[in-house]
Amino acid sequence: MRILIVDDSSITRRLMKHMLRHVSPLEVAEAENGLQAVETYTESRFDLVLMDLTMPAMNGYEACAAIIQLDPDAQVVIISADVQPMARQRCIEAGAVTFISKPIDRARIDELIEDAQRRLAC
Amino acid sequence: MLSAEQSEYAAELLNIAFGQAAAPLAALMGRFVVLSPPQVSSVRRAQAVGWLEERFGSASHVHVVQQAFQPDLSGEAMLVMLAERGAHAWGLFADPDDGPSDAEEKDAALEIGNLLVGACIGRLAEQLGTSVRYTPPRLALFDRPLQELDVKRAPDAELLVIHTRFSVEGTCFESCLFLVLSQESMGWLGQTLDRMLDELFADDDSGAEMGMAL
Repeated sequence: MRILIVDDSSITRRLMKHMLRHVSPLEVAEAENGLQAVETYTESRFDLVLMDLTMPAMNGYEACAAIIQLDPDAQVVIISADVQPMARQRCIEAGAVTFISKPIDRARIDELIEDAQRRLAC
Repeated sequence: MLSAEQSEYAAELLNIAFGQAAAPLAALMGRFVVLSPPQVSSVRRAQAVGWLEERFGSASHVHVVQQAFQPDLSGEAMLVMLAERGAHAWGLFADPDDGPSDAEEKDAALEIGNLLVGACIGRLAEQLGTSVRYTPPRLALFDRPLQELDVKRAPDAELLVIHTRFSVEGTCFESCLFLVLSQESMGWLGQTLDRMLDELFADDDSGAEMGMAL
């Protein structure tokens, strides 16, 4: 499975990789902001994108919309501490498949991975 | 003084705190709040005015809300809010063109200060596994030049600085939160952050409460 982790916090990226360490096979790429994420996705497609919302250079809404424009089937999951109902709504409007609030619930990440694995198996 | 890794982890914890503070603030205002990523750094108290001048401009006027807290996380929070260029605190609650009275602007500044300091410190403390008690917030400066910020007391004290920006439907409200932590509290914070980082990245999945992270 190919996963793109997008977060301006290196500790959060490290933690997500740590949470995913039992997934096999697994290929992880990282981006520090939305702009890097779009560039990375342009070069290569991913099965799942785990993306923060509040980031410098390009935020998660813009990056999500740009990735969906590149690939309408992209599976972008927003992971953010911004729990405003309108933030969730805007994420879905931007094309995200779902929204997970921080602090990250490891069980939700496991569910996402299981869903993605089932989807890939079809 | 926090290490680079400790500062980055503290920034993420504060990012969560600010994110969660945005929801009640947005509900109060009935508008969407766009947050910038909080930046965490440190500066000596005597250099705080220069630090602010670089970001806000030397001619800026500010409101300052101060609030003390204790016991594990012990010190004082100073929320510095830009009070000009259409960035009135009142503008977050109503049309700034309405021309708020001083009383309305003071109320708005205190309300925002209370909400942000409480949410930020409270949520940070909760994530650090402790709790805090506060003194009531007070408006230390109202629409005054930022050079009047009190930096004479303990000029060598290290301040933890959290800089973030709230944008509300075209109204730009910029604020900066200074945390003045006691030396004992800085030591406690560093040790607690290290312990939490060790637990987060522990290899043993059966470890306690690994379900929620960052």
